[in-house]
Amino acid sequence: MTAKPQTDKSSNKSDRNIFLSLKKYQDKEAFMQAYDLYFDQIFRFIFFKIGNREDAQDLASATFLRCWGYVQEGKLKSEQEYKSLRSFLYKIARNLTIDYYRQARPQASLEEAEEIAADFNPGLIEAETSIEVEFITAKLKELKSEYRNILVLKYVNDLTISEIAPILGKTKGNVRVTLYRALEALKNLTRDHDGEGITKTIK
Amino acid sequence: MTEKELLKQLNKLRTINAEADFKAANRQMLLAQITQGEEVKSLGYLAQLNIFMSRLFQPYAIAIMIALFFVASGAYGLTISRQAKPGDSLYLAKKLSERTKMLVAFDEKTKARLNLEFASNRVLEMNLLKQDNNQSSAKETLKNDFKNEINQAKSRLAKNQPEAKSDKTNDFKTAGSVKDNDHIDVAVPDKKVATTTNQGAGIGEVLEEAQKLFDTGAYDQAADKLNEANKLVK
Repeated sequence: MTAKPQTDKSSNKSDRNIFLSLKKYQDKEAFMQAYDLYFDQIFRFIFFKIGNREDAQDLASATFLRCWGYVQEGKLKSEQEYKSLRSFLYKIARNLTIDYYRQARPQASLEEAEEIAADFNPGLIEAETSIEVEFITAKLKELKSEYRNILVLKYVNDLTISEIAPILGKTKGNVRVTLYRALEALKNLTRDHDGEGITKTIK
Repeated sequence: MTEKELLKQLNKLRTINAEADFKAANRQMLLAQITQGEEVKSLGYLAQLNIFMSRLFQPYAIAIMIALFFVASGAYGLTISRQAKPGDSLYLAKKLSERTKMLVAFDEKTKARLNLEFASNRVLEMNLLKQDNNQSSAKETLKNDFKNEINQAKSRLAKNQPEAKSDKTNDFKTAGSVKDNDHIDVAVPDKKVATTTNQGAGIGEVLEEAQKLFDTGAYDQAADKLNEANKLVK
């Protein structure tokens, strides 16, 4: 169906050790290691939800703070529920992003907050990014938020299906189906372009 | 575009990262938050050995060693970060910590309290800088930051006012019914309304005084006024 993305096995192995160190010993060193490994990923995930670099950085920072709070309270979820520490971090990030939009519209329901979060503005991406990145980002914007989220999780941040499922509150089967549909939708949007051509034309 | 090309394009989005300066400063802040001045907690010997052995043969071993070094040296930086003043390397971490606290605060009352806490921080920093004649730009920034915190606190506290108004409306209705019974003391204000209104006005006045004291360089008194305002908010 789709090309298998590269999986960083050493990162996953390390993730398990960090998860256990945090759960059993509230190991601060392990937590800082998690920060070094995952901060950029979490930032990217939030950034593609809200489209604002500064707020995305703040929310990524808040994600780690809140995670540490859970570690201290002994609320780190079981490995069975969250397949990895990074799944747990993504879940916190997702909830914080929803809270972020609810602050702007306190009456908004969960669904509405997610829809507002979908109002992503790729124009806010700084000029430092390449034209190709701008192109695919613009196409992602045209997708509904559910599709965009799942594509970013799977193909940008390299999460496995098992990791994505608890973050989005879906079964693994549902994740596979949604992922397939999301990729098809993106393919339709980019049908008239070819990868090489975009760069040549715009440059 | 083929699926392969599409995935290649998506992979390129990995080049979007957080700013390196932010990440580094935030790391310091986070370390300060989680250790809170205490020494890095030592695990039991067996636990340490267990984790060490499991990590030893991983490609990340070197990165961990580096991280351990930073944790060990970071523990010292924590207490300093709280006392950091403009121009110090850890000042950015302190400001980031404040922004993060504000970001995760949900209700307006908590945010107003945070504004007062941060205004107190600016007072302390101004106290640390007042002898230094080379810091005029930093002092100006602190003045503006202090003013912003006070203004934000005022506006957030003002958002709690509709509640007081609705109480007032109800109480006037009560007064109206009293009037219907031919009592002429309708204008006597209800004690509850008076308390709420006076409290709101009281905080505003205290904050005005704090601002004036800060502007005249009476920083210790300004800090006292902020403490007073904080108690009134509660």
